[in-house]
Amino acid sequence: MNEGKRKMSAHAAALAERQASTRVPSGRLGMWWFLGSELTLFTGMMLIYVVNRIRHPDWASAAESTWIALGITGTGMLLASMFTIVRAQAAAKDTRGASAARWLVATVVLGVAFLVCQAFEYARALGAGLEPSAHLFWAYYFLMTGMHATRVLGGLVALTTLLPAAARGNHMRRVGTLGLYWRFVCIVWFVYFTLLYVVR
Amino acid sequence: MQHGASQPRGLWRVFSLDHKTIAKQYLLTGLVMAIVGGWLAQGMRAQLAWPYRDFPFFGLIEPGRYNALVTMHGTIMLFWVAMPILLGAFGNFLIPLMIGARDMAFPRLNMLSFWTFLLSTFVLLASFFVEAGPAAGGWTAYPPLSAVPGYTGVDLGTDLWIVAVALEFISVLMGGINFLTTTINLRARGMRMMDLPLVVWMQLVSSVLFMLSVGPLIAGAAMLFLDRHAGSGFFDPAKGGDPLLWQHLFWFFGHPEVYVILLPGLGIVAEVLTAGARKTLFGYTMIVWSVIVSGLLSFLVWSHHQFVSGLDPRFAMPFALTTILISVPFAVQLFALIATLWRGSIRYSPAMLFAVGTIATFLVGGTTGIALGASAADIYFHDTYFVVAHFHYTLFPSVILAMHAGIYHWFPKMFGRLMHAKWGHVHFWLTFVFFHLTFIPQFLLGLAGHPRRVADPLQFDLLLSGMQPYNLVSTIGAFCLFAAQVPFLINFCWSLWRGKPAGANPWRATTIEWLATSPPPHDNFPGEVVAVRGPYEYSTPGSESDWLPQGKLENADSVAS
Repeated sequence: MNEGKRKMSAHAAALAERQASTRVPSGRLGMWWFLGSELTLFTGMMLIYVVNRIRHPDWASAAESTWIALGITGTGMLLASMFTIVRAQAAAKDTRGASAARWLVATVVLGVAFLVCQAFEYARALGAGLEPSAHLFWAYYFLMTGMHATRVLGGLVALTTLLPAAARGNHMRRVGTLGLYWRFVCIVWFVYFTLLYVVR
Repeated sequence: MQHGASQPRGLWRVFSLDHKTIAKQYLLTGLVMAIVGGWLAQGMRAQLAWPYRDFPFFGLIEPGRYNALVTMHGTIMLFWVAMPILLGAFGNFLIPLMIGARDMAFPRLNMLSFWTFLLSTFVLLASFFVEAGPAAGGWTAYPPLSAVPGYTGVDLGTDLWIVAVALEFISVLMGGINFLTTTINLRARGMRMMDLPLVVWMQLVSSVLFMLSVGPLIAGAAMLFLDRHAGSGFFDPAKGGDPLLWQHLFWFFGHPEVYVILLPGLGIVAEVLTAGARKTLFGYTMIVWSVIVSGLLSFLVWSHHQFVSGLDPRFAMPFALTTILISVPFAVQLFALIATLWRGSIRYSPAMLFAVGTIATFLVGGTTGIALGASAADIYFHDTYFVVAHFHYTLFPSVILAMHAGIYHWFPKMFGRLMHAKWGHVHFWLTFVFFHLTFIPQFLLGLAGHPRRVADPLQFDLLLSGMQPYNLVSTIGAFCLFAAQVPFLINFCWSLWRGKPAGANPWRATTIEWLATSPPPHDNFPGEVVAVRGPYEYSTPGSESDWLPQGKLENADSVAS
């Protein structure tokens, strides 16, 4: 009975493989669709912010109180993590599990470091009375960075969950799929960093 | 395809990975919520016919409670009836079966999608039992009504509303990713995109529309939450914000959402019509392209909901144009469906009646939409019962009538038994007649200027003298419409156990789901499906039989069952 079941599911899996109508694996295709909807979320917020920013030149003074040095540090972490995730993806492509896992660990550490920078920035801003209620700029700041931080956190959880399997050389395809997601999250941050910290 | 080996047993079977079981779970939840949503409408109609009486079941409906009824009726009907039934149930059930797949591409994600949806349902229903009751700021949740508790007197109810809607969106998002990936990657050998049954195309376009429109509203929900709990002023002019921003975010999602709901309904109608008229679908390619065009246009019409919001007329004009323009692809689709009937050998099964009823009713909704889409005319019509009648004439056919068409048509495939046809006819005629009895008076009330969303119909009696009987007729229609669903519910339950066994293909329909047994086993097909021709080969010239199935089975595996 159990034997039959296993055979059947192997059969179904083989069939599914044959059925794939595009060369793109389903996991990656699903990720692309997910990122498509994420893209509208993050560009949506970006457009709202830009339109408001143009309508309110006076936000420049509020925007000046961002902690640029910390922002640059965090951005550097994500920039470095983009490098490490690409190395992890490359290793996964050659099914070098141990190497992929090492690069994944590096990515997770950098991601955590980014969130720590974020936390310091939040603590400082809130301590200085720069709450969402203080100024609309800070409301947008917390909205956009907060939304982004949830995505970073989600990515970290997913990467960490994948680690043990990846170290054993399993689920190598998922490393590639998650890498796609992680790079998306990083790119969103570069745009947001530019908008919130640099362009005044 | 990691399922199959890990199918749970016993009571755990409710956590099924099987797309058919998940579809039935969606259907059941959706039907229960339809009863709840319909019930709320009875309260509204009672109040509008006999204001401020002590009603049985409802008691006295003062304005605050009336607002809650309006809000929750709209919210439930759109997000907890239309979405789970048209997308969750029919999308899940039909997509893998119609493309010859064994299951969805991500069965676990599919299961997670349903359970997230069920959680959202409980959160929403819980809001009925908290202090001050459920949200009362309208299903559109415009600030400041939704942002400042003082306006509606509802606080926790609004929070629960936001959480429930957010969970529901996450659930549909997971479903959409599944629908798209499955249709693109798991089609049977030989099935090109242009061989997909129309309803699958519709589900596909719907999913894309939903996924690309919902993002900004999720940001909007976060902003609303911050406004409510962190004192920010995104939507508060006093703090430099703008309440119109919410309307843009809401309708940028909300208008595509109308088509997210409409398209699967039209798809169901197309499947039923071709099988019922024994004719190939008229202009398949043209319909597919017009659906894609209407999908693209649907992102450019949102501001027609805001013509009287103080919008810059220079901004309104282009939206009036796109709104009128979008009726063109929909006219193409409807005319193609009507042309499909032309000279067919029509059999009026209950499903067929509902399908034809959908088209007849939707035409009225579509044409009255043109009157509202013209920004000048809308200034008069806006916020009158004309709008209420209009969108019920679009949503009732695409959600309720098309849903019934789909249920009568695929019930045999879902449960292996036929529904009782005679009672199906009775159900259709009662529903159809009482629907029009309910909403034709509302067009007339709207033309006379009767405002919507106002608890007291006599408040403007000076202007509307003599119109109250129309409210009365509409209310009687609504009561009867609700009662007319009883034969359906009895028929549904009775047929589950006592219906005539259906056999694999009771309608002699062409599409691939009818190759499977009724109901199909967990792996759907006893072999590999190969698509050999288009989806609608009815009455093909030169063929002996009046239908040719789209697919055939190869390599029947001995291990199955």
